[in-house]
Order: sequence, then structure tokens, then C-alpha cells
Amino acid sequence: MTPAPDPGLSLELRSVTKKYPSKKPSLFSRTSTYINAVNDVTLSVPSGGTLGLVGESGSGKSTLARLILRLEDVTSGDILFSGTSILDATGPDLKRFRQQVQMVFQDPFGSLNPRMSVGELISEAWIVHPEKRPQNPDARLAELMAQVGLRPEWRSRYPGQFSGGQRQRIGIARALAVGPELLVCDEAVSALDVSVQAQILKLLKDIQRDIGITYIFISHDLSVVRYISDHVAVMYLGSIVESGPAQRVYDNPAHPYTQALLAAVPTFQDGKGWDRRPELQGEPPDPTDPPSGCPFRTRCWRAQARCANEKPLLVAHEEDRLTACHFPELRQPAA
Amino acid sequence: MNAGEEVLSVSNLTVEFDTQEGTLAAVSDVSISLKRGETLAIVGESGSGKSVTSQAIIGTLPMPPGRITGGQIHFDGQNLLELAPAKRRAIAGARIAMISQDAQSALDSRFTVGYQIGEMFRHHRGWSWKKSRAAAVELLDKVRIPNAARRVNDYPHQFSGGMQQRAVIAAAISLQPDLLIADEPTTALDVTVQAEVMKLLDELKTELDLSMILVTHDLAQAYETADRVSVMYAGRVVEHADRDRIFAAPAHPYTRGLFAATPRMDQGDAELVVIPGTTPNLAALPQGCAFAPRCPYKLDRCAIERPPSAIVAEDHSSACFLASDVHALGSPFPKATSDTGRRQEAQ
Repeated sequence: MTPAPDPGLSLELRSVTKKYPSKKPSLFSRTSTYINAVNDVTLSVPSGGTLGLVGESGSGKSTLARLILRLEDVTSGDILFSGTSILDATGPDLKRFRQQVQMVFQDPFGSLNPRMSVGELISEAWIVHPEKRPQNPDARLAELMAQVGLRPEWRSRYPGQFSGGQRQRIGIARALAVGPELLVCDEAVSALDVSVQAQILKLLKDIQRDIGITYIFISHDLSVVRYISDHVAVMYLGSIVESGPAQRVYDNPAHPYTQALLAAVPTFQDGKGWDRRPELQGEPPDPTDPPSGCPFRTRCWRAQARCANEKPLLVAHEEDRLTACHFPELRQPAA
Repeated sequence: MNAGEEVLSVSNLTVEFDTQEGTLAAVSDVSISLKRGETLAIVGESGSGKSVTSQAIIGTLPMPPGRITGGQIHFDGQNLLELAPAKRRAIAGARIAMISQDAQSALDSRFTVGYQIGEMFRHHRGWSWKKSRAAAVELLDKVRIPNAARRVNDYPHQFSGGMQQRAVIAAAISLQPDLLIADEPTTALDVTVQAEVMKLLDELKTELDLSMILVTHDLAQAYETADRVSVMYAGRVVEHADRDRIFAAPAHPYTRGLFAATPRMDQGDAELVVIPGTTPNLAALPQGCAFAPRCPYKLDRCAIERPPSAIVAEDHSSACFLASDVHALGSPFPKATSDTGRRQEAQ
């Protein structure tokens, strides 16, 4: 049974799993063990919206981004972009996909060639994708630079002459040059100072409003994700444990992990934050030897016998909201 | 030392660095003070001088290229800058302790965690190996590392990031310091681990009667942890106040701008208010106020004259010509246009 692709969706992930062989070389043992970096992830990203992907280190969010960009191959499952599977795209189809899906990186210092001028950096993509080369490249370059808040007369300057925030603007202009439909931002504002971070976040929002582009926004900073996302998905040990509209998930998290994660963020509320926080037990489990049943049960304060025996499925408990927990905390919205 | 007494007082500290672009002042005329049992947060962005200030206090400033060209650092009644290096080191190691962002590089991967904590006692107190090791176990227990007696023999790589930072904290509090400087202690950690480390620091502070300087870029963390807050910009303290005052009504346009630019968990659909421009180059600071080129309230004189620190309320000062006017604006947080979900549904 394969559901028909939904035209309103930019990207659809169906039971995507990625296993890596765990590196434990042994002369005598040929049985290989695997790490499920991404485990049976099903997810959809509506066109023109922003999906925030949150989780702590080792949760699999960056691996998922690499799978979406086809920088890695999935072990099983399917990824659909605009309704077509990208997994067996080759030749011109793959090239078209590579033009439609672009990425903005975390490190504005390492991701730009210091020997290329800003103009060359931004227009480089038109060499790779000549079909996207505009009629008047100079005018388009000036337009792109203005769109990301750079002065067009800076086109002959080099990355070394720019601050971190301005380099991130160059990175965004580069990604936008080929007119992508989906932009994957992996920790795109994490290296920036607060005052500059706000500029880039607003810029990304403005661009989305103007050209209707879709974002997947990966960040460990939960306040930033809250600000920029329409939908969020929370990952733990390779699995999605909760997803839904950002505001509703943040206001009423149902999965214990989401609750612990959101409560851990310092806030401007009165009193010491840690008095309000549920305490997580122990350390995150070893990904080569994940717990049976629910991956979170070893640290969960609501875990019961059932959680060890049966892995909870990601199911809808209210419209648009999915939770993978046997005992989610469901709050009836006040009448 | 008694409660309420000043543990540390830094006055008019200036630190210069020799760089290829010439001499620049990383810290200019900075004065801060700390009472016993108090936490002071130094908040600022990169290049604000917050880390250089703490390095100057504990004495780990790289010299050269750094140079302390002015000011005094009084700790327990002595000016640290006038002490002989050996004496200063004895104080810095035992009575002032520091933990930094990168626990991994603070620990030496070739030695067990217990050995490295025990070394504090062997070096400073001349204890035997056996006695030092027992003390290390006790400390690991104190920073809530489970099975401390067994984990004391582990190497740093066998600890998770959060546990490494706990081990660094254990070493820092080993000699019962009076002052703990925590320089971005949780920046490299996951958010749930961050919360655990901040909780631990808060508990230890009470338990050991510590005074603490928290250097951070995270305003919400400063709010949760600090009693008083100093905000730094381009090497200077631009605003200082107790926590409640500064968050209720900041009196410097930079502080106000920083609050409005920080995404919050309770942001609702409020927009961020952007501070235009970027942090200044310390080698080419403007003549007047360093924030003037980015300031929405800038006056003509701001470009020429540097505003002195003005007092707007008790224990609340701001280096701005319009300090009282900015202070009168009240809460810095932008309002949501519609209230967030839950409250709306409740109506």
C-alpha cells in the first residue's frame, strides 16, 4: 500500500532508516553490529513552510539532513520530493533535484572559498546549473545581494573582508541563486552572535514570505526553532518521538522527552528554572546497544513494563500531532 | 570572610593586546565588584571583553600579546596585580578557580580523572597519593557522578561531555575556593545536560558558600543564575544592575536591543527586533560611544563624546547620555500581537 503523493507537500519521508556499521574491528568475529542513526522516520514537510528539527547530539538530525540531500544513501524507506522518489534519480533528474534542494551550512568561515570574490561565489552555481543562468547575470547578482542585505558594490570583495553574519548572507545568496524550492539549514545561525543571529533569522523569514520557499531548519537551540518554525519534529536516538505545529508542541508537549527538553531551556520566568524541570535519569543510551521497546524508557520517569516490551509507534492523538509514547500526557485544550 | 563583604573588586581595568592591526584595548576601564555568596553575570557578545576580564582576574591572560595597562584587581583586600607571580599563582590556584567552555581540553587524556583531581591536593597541599585519591572520590561524589569510587579510575574519554564538565567542576572546587569563575560553562553541552550543570553549580554555590562570576552570552541563563548583571560591549561595561532591575527596565540601548533580539521560549508570535550592523572592530573603534553606529537613539554628541556611566536607580548604572529615558521605556521584550495559544483558548 503506497499512499498517493500529496501535491501540497514539498518533501515526504516514508519509513526512512539509515544504518551504519559500528566500527568494532575484530579478527575473530564476523558478525557485524549496526547503529541505527535514523530509525524508521516518517515525516512530511508542507510546501512553503518551515519544519524545525530538534534533538540533542547523536539524535540523528544531521544524518537525516544528509539523507534528504542525498549525500548519503538510505538503508531502507523512501524519500519523495515534490511527489517523486529521489532515491533512484539519476542523470538529469538527479541534477534537477540538486538544483531544487540547497543547503546553508553552520560555519560561515569554512564553507566559502577564500580565493573567490563574493560575485564569483554567488554566480558559481550558474556554471554548475547553466540552465538556471539568468538572462542578465549582473542584474540578477545585484538583486540577490540586495535580497540578502549585501551591498551590490561589494561583489568584488573577498570573504575574508566580511564578518560572520555577512558571510552567512553570502551563503544564503549562493543557495538562492539557482532558485531552489527547499533549503536545508543545518545549525545555520548557531555560530553567530545574538544580535547578528536575529538579523539572519528575520532575513530567512522575509525571504520565505517573498518567494514561498520551504525550509528544513535544524538546530539545537530550541528558542530559535520556536521562532522560525511552523512545524517541529523532535528526535531521540534516531527516532521521531513527537511532531506537530510548533506552537502547540511547545505549549503542550506530550512526550516525556519533549517535556524534559523544553523544560531544560532557561527562561525569563520567576524562580529557578531547575525547580520546574523533570529530572532525566542517567546518561543517553549507547546507540550500538539501544534499549528494547521505547528508546527513551531508560531515562523516562513515566516508564512502565509495557515500555520495555513494545516500541511505541508514532500515532496521531489530536489533529496534526503525533507522539511515540504509550503514556503521552494529553491535555484537553481549555474550552 | 563574612557575608555581604566584598570578595572581589576590579577597578578601572584596562587590558591591551598587540596585534597586526596595532594596539587595541580588549578591556577598557572596567569596574566590577562581587559580594560574598553572590553571582555576577557578565553578559556580552564575541569581542566584548567578557572572557579577557575573567582571564585577567585569575591571571591566565596570555602576556604577551596581552598587557594590563591600568587598574586594580582587589581580592580579599590585596591587589592581585601587585603580588609576586608565585604568590599570585598560589591564590589563583587555590582560592580563585575557573571552569571554561571546553571541558575536553581542560582534562588531559593521558591521565585518569581521579589522578587529575588528586593532583590538586598533591600539588597545593602535599598530600599523599592515597589521601588525594580518596578526596577525589569524595569530590566526584559531590558533583553527582554515579559510582564515584569506580569512575575515579576512568580516563576522560570514558566520560560523557556532561560528566567531563562535572569532573572539571570537581577539580575547580577541590581546594574550597572563595571565587569560581565559570566562563560559558555550558556552551558546548546539550540542553538537558546544560540544565543539570547549572543546577549543580547553583547547589554547590550554596553548599560551599562560593561567590561566582558567570560569563555568558545567554541572557536567559544569566536571568536564572545571577544576582547582578554587567553587560559588556566593545571592551566596556555599558550597564550594570541587579538582576530584577536590568530585566524589568534596562537603561542602555544595547542591553535593550539585545533583549529584543533574543528569541525566547515564550516568544509567541512576537517578532524579533533586530540590532542593525555588526559588533565593532576593536582596532578601529569610533571616537565616541562604541554602540552609536548601531544605536536607534543616537544623538549627535554620541559620535564625538563617550558617555560616562550614569546612575538611574540604586545599584543600576548605564553608560549612555539617554540612560534615564531608555530606562523609562520599561520592559524590553516585544509584545506578541495575539496572545499565545493557551491563553487565547482559555478566554
